[in-house]
Amino acid sequence: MKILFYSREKCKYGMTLVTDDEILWGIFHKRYDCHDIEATDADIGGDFGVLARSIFEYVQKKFQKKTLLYFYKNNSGKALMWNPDENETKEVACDEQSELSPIQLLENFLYTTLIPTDDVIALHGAAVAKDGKAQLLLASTMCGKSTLTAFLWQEGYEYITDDEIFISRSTMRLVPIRRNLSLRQGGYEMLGGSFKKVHNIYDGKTKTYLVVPENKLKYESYEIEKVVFLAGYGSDEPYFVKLEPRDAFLRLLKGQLSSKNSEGNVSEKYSIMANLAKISYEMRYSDLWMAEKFLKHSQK
Amino acid sequence: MNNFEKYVLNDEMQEMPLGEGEGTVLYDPETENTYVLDDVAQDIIDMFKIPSSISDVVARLVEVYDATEDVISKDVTDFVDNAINNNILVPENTLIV
Repeated sequence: MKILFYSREKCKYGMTLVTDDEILWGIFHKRYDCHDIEATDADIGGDFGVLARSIFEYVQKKFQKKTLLYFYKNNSGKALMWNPDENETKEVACDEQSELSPIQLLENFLYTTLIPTDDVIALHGAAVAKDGKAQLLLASTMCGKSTLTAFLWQEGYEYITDDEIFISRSTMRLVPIRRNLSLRQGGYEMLGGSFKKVHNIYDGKTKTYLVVPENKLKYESYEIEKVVFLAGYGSDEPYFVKLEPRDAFLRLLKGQLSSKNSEGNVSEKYSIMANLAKISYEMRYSDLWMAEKFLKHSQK
Repeated sequence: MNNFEKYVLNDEMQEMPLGEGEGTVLYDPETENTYVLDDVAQDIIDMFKIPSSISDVVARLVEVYDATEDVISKDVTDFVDNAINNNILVPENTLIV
């Protein structure tokens, strides 16, 4: 059994994985910057609730962070999940052949409890920047967001994130918390595999490519120049239009990373979103070069 | 509710305007409900920032919007009814504890 702790910057929880599944451990380790936690078989063999509490206390003391816990024993057919605020164990059946694989369950668990710290608001989306000015790309899944982000990165934009956007409540500037960019097979093949440092991840069903940024970010924070909602790509008529602020605000509400809105000052968060709504656009593009042109020509 | 009774915007509501003529967002910290209003609704709400009756508001809107008084009166009455039910508007002199 191995124990891995992922600290998750700008979020109130981290995630601790306890597993003897080499694939699950390997994927988690590649996706996230983790810390190994030493443990004996005696610690792991006991009551799960006791183990969870013990790990929680250890992590809180060493890393000053609350942690969720995910326990999966290889071929057991079930995952155990523990949330410190609920203090009860949830057991979910899963197997690698079904839609609810152990890795997918883990990702869902991590995602649904992603609560930003009080100094930021969090949106689901990607961000790139040029000359210190960030462009936020927001879209639902399978809209080509990560592929577009990777393409813009190749074209000279600074890559910031492809999943979690954190905005400072006090300055309204983007706080760059970087993760490896995750590409599906189609996106990676489209871009010709030109990135230097790439981890291949195969979870038994799908292959993804984690592109590792090698250069450091140029700035500690970025002015947000525009927010672009991606309406997809394809043969339909392409466009780049400014959104009505009311429409954009409603979309930003839906784009929040956490559904738990009671964290922090809500009206302060809404003021930030109201300001973002005023610089929001929607884009549909027929190819990546067109998308880049739209973004370039709309820059101040 | 009658057309001459005065109402006012609940001062517990927090407002975040979306820009000139673009609408506004109201947040009720007590219920944690959020209301996203269009520009017309915003105009109406703005008029209730001082105690006003439905008649007062209708009279002003008739000067601004190209619709009959009956249509505006019905729309405003429906809006105010809804706003009262959601505690966005309260009767004048309501004591908030």
